[in-house]
Amino acid sequence: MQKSIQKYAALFVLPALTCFVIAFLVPMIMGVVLSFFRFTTVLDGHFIGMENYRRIFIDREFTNALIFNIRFTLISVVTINLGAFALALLLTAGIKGTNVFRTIFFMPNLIGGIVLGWIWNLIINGVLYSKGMTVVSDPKYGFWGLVVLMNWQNIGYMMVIYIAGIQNIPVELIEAAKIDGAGQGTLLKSVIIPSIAPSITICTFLTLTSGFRLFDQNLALTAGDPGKQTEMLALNIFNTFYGRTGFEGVGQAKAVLFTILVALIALTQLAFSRKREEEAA
Amino acid sequence: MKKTLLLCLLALMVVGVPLFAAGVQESAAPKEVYFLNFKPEIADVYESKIAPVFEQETGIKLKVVTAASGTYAQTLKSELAKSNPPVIFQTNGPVGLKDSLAYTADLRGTEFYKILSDKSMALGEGDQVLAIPYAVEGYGIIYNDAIMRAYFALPNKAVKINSADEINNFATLKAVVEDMQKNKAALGIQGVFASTSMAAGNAWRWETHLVNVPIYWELREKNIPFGEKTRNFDFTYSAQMKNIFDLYLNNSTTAKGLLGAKSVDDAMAEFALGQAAMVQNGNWGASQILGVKGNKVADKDIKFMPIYTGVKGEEKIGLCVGTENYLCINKQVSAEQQKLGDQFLTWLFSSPSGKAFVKNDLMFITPFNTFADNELPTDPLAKDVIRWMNKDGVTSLSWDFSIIPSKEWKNQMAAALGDYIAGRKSWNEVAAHGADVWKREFDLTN
Repeated sequence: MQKSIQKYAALFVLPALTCFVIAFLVPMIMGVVLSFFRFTTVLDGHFIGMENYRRIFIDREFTNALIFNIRFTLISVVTINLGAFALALLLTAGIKGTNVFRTIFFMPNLIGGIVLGWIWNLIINGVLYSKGMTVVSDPKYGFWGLVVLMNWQNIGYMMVIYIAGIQNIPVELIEAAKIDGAGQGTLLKSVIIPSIAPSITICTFLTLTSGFRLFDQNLALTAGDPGKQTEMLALNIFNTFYGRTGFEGVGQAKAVLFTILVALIALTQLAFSRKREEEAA
Repeated sequence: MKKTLLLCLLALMVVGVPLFAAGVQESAAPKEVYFLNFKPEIADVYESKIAPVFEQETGIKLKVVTAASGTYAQTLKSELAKSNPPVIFQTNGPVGLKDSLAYTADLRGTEFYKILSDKSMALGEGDQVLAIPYAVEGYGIIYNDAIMRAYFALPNKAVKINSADEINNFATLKAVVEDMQKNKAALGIQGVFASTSMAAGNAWRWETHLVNVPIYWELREKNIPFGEKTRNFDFTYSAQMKNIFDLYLNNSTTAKGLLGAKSVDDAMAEFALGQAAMVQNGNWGASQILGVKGNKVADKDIKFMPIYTGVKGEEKIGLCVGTENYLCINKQVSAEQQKLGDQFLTWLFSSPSGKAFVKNDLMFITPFNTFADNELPTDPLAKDVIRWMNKDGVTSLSWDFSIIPSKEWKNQMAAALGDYIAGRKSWNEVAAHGADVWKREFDLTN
């Protein structure tokens, strides 16, 4: 039995491997290669070395998008995780009807980013209308609009992860802590938070990367307006690739930098949390 | 184990190659012409009216794909890379053509080129003909003459003239517009000008069309002939552009802060519904006025006036007339398909049924010798463009915006104008930005 499984293992891997190669590996390699080419369509171009990478910085667009994105991600990582954790605590406290609320809080996550963007565009414009403004009148509206949108979409999802974490804490542990005289604050600080460290790692990691990869919400809510001041990295890459004649390769070079950046952040974060978990264990 | 994996990987490669190769072969499909349409406002005409008749008469299928407004370049880019690329596609002038040189076939031998009346209008490289214009268009300020007549009939009007025809310079226009805005309640309008649409992808009426006026005057002053590129654009006539742009903004249906969410469609609808008396747009907008539900503007009341900005001698100018609609045939598809593409275009612009569509549904003013005078479009805006083109003592402004160095310049201009509206930039900063970015973009693209 064992042997025949081994015999066919490769065959079973084949479908997934095919998808992985076609949809991920090939485009990724092509992408990196193309960042050194000048091209119009992805199938013909000529090699120009590092020129595309130099051209990224002929204007401040990319740097501005990067700064905007970092500010956005920092704030939304904090607010999403705090919000999700607070909700998780609330919904594991044994109040009646928690299941209904869990479902409700999770629901925004089921709506696609473009639709969410449009919905919030309407809501925010509706509110600002009385002041004779729209969400694209001032970059700060776009910024906070995106933060609110991102929170609304992601808190429910992260909440589920936190709930699972909290429910996994052994009841004995909490009881023992209580018997030892731990108050609510101590219980939270010394028992619950250390016990759910893995959940915190996962949630921080997920929100951090999704903050950087944000695209459709950005496109639907502000499309980068006013004047690219609310443009994030992914949207900037898209606009460079498709919107500027002769800049396809530059867009590709930006995408490579972007990939490296996100990978670096994720790896650092992961290594850092792993270490902390090991220490805690 | 390792061997099996290796075998499987090899098998995958072997299976994969013919799979992809088959995709390429497929492009030699049965008789079908794939046309990537640029104009969303008339997409429906191609799909539901022209395609069936063309197939009925010639047995050739017409596949029409239309790019969403403002996304033609990116749609074209991804469509061209596909295994079944478009046969006919559009380019917007010399700058756009440069981007697709790897795909444009030489059209000298085609029937379509033969019917072009003025061969100098085609674009090319060396002695090759690569792009052929198919529609001459004009734009200016469209006005609703019924509202204008109502204004001139007001007992308390502050101007001396008695009809919109008498407006022939900026000073008069400004006096009329500002007085109309004061009397907007009596005229039943929300503002003289329809919204200055600034939503993403909707600012082209300003960053391309309006900006053409200062470009035109500056180039003529510098004796640079039409179509010749220049690195130095100083925005000499920026103050004049500010004149008209401020007039649009201050006498509008919409408060400045809300313009960022307004689209061209919104503006055209305001005009069609009689909420605004004027809107800057071109004759392609006819379908957007006539086709709006609840349209309150009578055909005979839809008229054009030139965009007056306060330049000396502007009494003698007409509308901005030109084209940014050129068709190309993809040289990377099979010779047979290229021929079918030629056949479709020739059919559309020379057969009786094709010409009927062009006149009645597409409403193009065409540059082809196959059209007799009575076959010109009859919609009010096209008719008025023709009237202005033939008016005595009036010179049309050419479309000098075709030498704008890149789309990026237009984007930057739109952003700067948005900043100006929101009060984040002064007009001088807008003008300086326009001149700086022009040089930078010129160096990048030449």
